[in-house]
Parts: sequence; structure tokens; C-alpha cells
Amino acid sequence: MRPTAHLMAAAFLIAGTPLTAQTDPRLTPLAPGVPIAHPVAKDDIAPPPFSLLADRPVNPAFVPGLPGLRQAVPVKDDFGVSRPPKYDTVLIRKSRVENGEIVIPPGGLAYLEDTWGGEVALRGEPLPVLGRMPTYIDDDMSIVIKENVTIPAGGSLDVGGQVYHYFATVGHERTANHALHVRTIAGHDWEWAFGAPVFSANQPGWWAGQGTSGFTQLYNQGKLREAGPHKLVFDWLSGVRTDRMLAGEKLFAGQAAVGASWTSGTKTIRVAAIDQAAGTVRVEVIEGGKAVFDKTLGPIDPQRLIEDTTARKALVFEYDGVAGFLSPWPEGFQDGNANLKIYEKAFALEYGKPYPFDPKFTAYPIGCPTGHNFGFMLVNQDEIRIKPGQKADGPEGFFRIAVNRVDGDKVIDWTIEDKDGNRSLNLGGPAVQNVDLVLGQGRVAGQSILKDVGRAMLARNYQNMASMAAAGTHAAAPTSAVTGSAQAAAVASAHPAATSAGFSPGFVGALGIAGIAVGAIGFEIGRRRRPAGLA
Amino acid sequence: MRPRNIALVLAVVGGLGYLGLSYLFFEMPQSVSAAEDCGFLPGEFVGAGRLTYERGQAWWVSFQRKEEAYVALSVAAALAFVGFALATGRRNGAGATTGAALGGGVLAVSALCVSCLAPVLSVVGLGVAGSLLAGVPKWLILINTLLLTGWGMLALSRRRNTACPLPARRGTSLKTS
Repeated sequence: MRPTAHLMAAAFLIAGTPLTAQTDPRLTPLAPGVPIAHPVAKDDIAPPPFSLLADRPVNPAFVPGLPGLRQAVPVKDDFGVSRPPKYDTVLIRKSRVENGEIVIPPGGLAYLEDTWGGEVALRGEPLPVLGRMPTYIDDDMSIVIKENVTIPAGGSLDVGGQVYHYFATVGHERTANHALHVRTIAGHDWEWAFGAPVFSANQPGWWAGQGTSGFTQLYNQGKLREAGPHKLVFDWLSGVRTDRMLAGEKLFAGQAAVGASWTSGTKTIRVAAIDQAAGTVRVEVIEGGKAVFDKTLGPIDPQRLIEDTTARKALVFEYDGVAGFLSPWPEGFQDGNANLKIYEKAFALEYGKPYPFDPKFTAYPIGCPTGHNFGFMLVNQDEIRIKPGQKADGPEGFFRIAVNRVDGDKVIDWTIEDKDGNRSLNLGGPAVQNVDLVLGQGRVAGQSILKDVGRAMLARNYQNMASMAAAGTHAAAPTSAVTGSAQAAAVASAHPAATSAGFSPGFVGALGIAGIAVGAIGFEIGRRRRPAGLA
Repeated sequence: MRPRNIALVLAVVGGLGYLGLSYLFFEMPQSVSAAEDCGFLPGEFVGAGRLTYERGQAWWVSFQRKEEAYVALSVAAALAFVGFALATGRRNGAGATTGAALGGGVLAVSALCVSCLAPVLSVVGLGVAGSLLAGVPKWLILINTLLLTGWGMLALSRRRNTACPLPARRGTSLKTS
């Protein structure tokens, strides 16, 4: 892109959206002349605690799900198209036993809306929010750039909502190449979608030459300065960050004529004017008899939708709990009417800001480098301390951590339960020293994070099974009534797993009954064979 | 109808009924773990509610892999026994008949407790039966059911044959069998 084009693109962005700051000529666009889809962030915002690889859960317990923490929930958007399934994930990191009670540090407890794929704005995609299902409307995404960055071998570093992890060095004769994994603050590993950048300073025939200059993974990009077995050094690295995601309850969807209006509380949303030739519709919000908000939506730029911030913001309005947009699909205008979608009870999840429904937790929307959203995290602001016999609530009480027994520095008995009281098995044991946890089967809990902690989880699981077998005990069954969901069946299925090692009491009992029955049948047959006089 | 014929009819009804209900209540799994619970491999799970099989084929695969035939036969045997006990009731006395019928019913419910008729029933069943039946293989439950119902039928038929003749009902002649 020529410098003048960069200037024009920057000017357009600045004029187009109040949130946009600037673009950056170092970033590679989608194609020559195409503007970068998101503004470059003016400020860096600290990621949530425990975003880096070194801060993964330590020997965590694994729970596949609970009836109230649902897995693989199917959803469809406004157009009846199936969207990636949704998962409720809970992570606990860096917990410890201290003076006979459990301590979870700030940021150690995380709820993750763990989606299997990207969440796309303006499509009417349902967004699970702790049991509710509002509609995802829009987002604000920016690109963070960090300069003069060094990542030691095996280390990781956050840039925006992304985490770069120097994963491996592989040698060949006297040469070597180096793999970089691009991840998120929630633990996603983008390798499944985009592969992993590979660098080499001395394998000129491999990696198509890109290995010495840097990498471009959509808007996650970098300029390499030095690649060696001990560290990777970049002139700069960029990473996308979802600064804000907007959701709300559906109020209206369809063709609307001039004068059409909808009421939400004390506000009335009204179509003030439509100019089909210009491709615009003017919407105003009326409160107390006067217009308190006014915005012209459109025209539609189909080439740059949906990911481009400027193109999308041109269609969206938002004012104090009401929001909406001019929907381009199937058509923005028809017979003089505008295709509108209006939402009420609109709320925003902002990166690093308190979760609006429970300010004890901080929200962090997760951005995908292709410009989609990828779920959101809620992490505890303050330290959580749990004495034996006490419970600690997750956000909005959506789940609870119950500590039942601590012995010295060992957590003998603890469980996680959903808001209806459905409990996991006992996750404690004589070798358990924390309440670190991975719950769920989504893209993070069921896939990416397994690279980091899967081995430890399997080892912990086997160790617990071995200690239970040695003690001749069985894992405690969930005592609460569970509902008939697939997840409930999954929880209940732990029962036979716990009792099938060796001969269970049920198996021995059944064999005993069979023996008695065989004896009884023999007795009956014997009685029939006796002479009638002896009967 | 003779008691043996009643038992035979009820056995057929029980077995086929279980087969039909199993098909009707079969749900395509929504998650990998649910798929594995239904006997499918992770590689056969495509997405929520989707497998590499169509629903009918998926049901049959699950039916076979979860050894549901044992449950169907157990239910058939238990129902047949209930029918036999009730059909011979007048000759065996109310107490023995009620006990035998209840016993058959308990056997049928026990078989259902470890069945895959539906996730709801499976969970409720496991809740009712606890860990006792969850660790018992289905083939052993079938053997036990056959042994216990066989014993029950032998005992009931012996009692019936050795019982005193009953007075004739109004309009019928006295019969001894």
C-alpha cells in the first residue's frame, strides 16, 4: 500500500468511527488497497491474570460438564443457519491451601463462554450468558502493537487479547527452525484454524522464505528480527483484542416503514426517514416527548462486511439500553421499507471492565484474528477464600465451589456444583493440594488446554483411581437429582466407571442371587421327581 | 387362555415393546461424552445431534453396542412371569400371586434401570438402583431374570397342581386345570 493510501485509509477510519484511533503502515492488509479492518489501539490494556502458559492450572481436576453447565449447545442465527455449538467452561488456576482454607487468587477463577467457532456480528447469533440466551449484536475490535519483543524458548507473551508462545525448536544437521503458537488470553490455540508460524534463520529452502521476515496470521502479525534456539526477537508483534461486545433481547426484526416505532420502557425507537436511493435510514430514540438520539444508518458496504469495523458501525446504533442495525440480508431495503433489527435490554461486555450483572467479576471478550468474537471470560476481581464447609459463588451464582474437608495441605473433599445444586464427584483426595480445575469440552477446555495440562489431568485421574482402589472405596455419587440432559447422563456415567474395576459389590451380589436361584430350581425339580407318597 | 399362552404373549409384547420404545426415545447425542455413553466412538460424533449414521442406523448401532438385547429379553421374561403369576392366581392364593407378580415387576424395573431406553430413564434408574445394579453386566441380569422367573414358574405350577380344586364360578363347570 502506498503511503498516500495509508493516509487516506487512516483519515477514513478517523472520520468513520469515534472509537477508531489510527491504522499502522506496518500491518499487512487483506489485499493491496484494502483498509485494515480494525483501528490500532491507542492504549494497551492489561490481560486477565494467568493468561500466559506458565499460569495454566496445576494438576487440575477435570469435569466434563454438569446439567447446569451445558456442553455443545446447538444454536442457529436469524437465518436458520447452525452456528458453532456453545459450551460452559470453568477454569481454576493457581489455587492453594493456606491455614486450612482454600485460596483462589484474583483472576484464578474463570468462567469462559467457550464457543467451538467464531461468533459473527449482525447475524442474530444467540450468545449464552450464564444460562440466558440474548442475541450477539456487534463488537469493537482493535489491534494492539508491541515493539521490540523478545520471547524466550518455551515462554509466552500477551499482545492485545492474544498470547504468543515460543513452542519448539527442531534441528536438522546444523540448522534449526522454530515454531510459534498463537493463542488467546483464554487459552485457545489458533493452530487448529490457521496453523502455526515457523521461523528459521538458516533453512533458506524451507518455509517459503517467510521464516526470516516474520508472519501474517490475519491481523496477528509480526516482523522477525532474530530467531534462535534460545529466543525469538521481533521488531514488533500485533494482536487483536475485542474491546467490547454488545448483546440484547430481540424487540423487532423485519421491514419497517417511515413512522414505524417500538417501545422499550420509557423509550420509543422510531424510523424517522428512509432514503432508499441513498441506501440510508434515519432512526431516532424518543424519551419524554423529545428526540434524545438520532443516527442515520447506511449505506451498506457489502464488500467490507461483516468484519470491517467502519462498514459495520455505519449500520449500527446504540443508545442507553436500546440498539439495532440496518440488516443487509437478504436486502437492506425493499419497496421503500428498511430491513431493521431492534434490540432492548442491550448490554456490553467490555475488556477489563466489571461484568455488568456481577461486578465482582471482570469481563474479557475474546477476539479471533479474523475479526470475529470467540466467547468471553469472567474472572474474579478479588481473592476468594473458602473454609471447609463453605461454598464460593461463581458469577451470578451460576456455579459454586464447595470445600467439604481439608486435612493439612491436602484437599480431601471438594466439589463443583451448578446453580441447581447438581454436584460433580468428589474432586479431592489424599494427594490433592489445590482446587485447580478444567470443566468443559469446548474449544479451550476440550481441546487447546489439553496440550498444556492434559497429561497432568490424566495422571491425576489415574492416581486418584489407584488410591481409591487401594482404599477399597468408591467415588461419591452425585446426590442431587439430575435432569435428563445428555450432560446428566455423562455425569451419571461416572458411576459404573467408579464401580467397574474388579468385582463390584453389585456384581458379587448378582452372582450370589444366581447361585441361590440355581439351588432353588434344583430343589423344585427334585421335589417333582420324588414319589408322590413322599411329597 | 392358558397361563403359558398368556406368558408367551406377554413375553412377545414386552420384548417388542421395549424394542419400539427404545427406538422412539432414542436421542441423537449432543456432545462427545453423550455419544460415548450411547456406545459411539468419538470419531463417529460429527456435531451436536449429528453422527456419521442416520438416526435409525444410529439407534441400531447403539442398541447392539450397549447390549440392549439382554435388557429386552429380561423385560420379556419378567413380564411373562407377571402374566403367568396373575393367570394362575386363583389357584395359588392371593399372597403368593401378589408376591410373585411384584417380584416379576421388580425384575423388569431392575432391567430397565440399566437400560438405554432414554437418558432420563437411565439417570432415574441409576438413581433408584444406585451403584448396585450399575456395576452388574446386562448378561448377568438376564441370566438372573431367567433363573428367578424359571424358579417362580416352577414353584407356582407345583402349587397350582397340588392345590385343592376350587368351586366352580357361576355358569361354569368345575375344572381341575
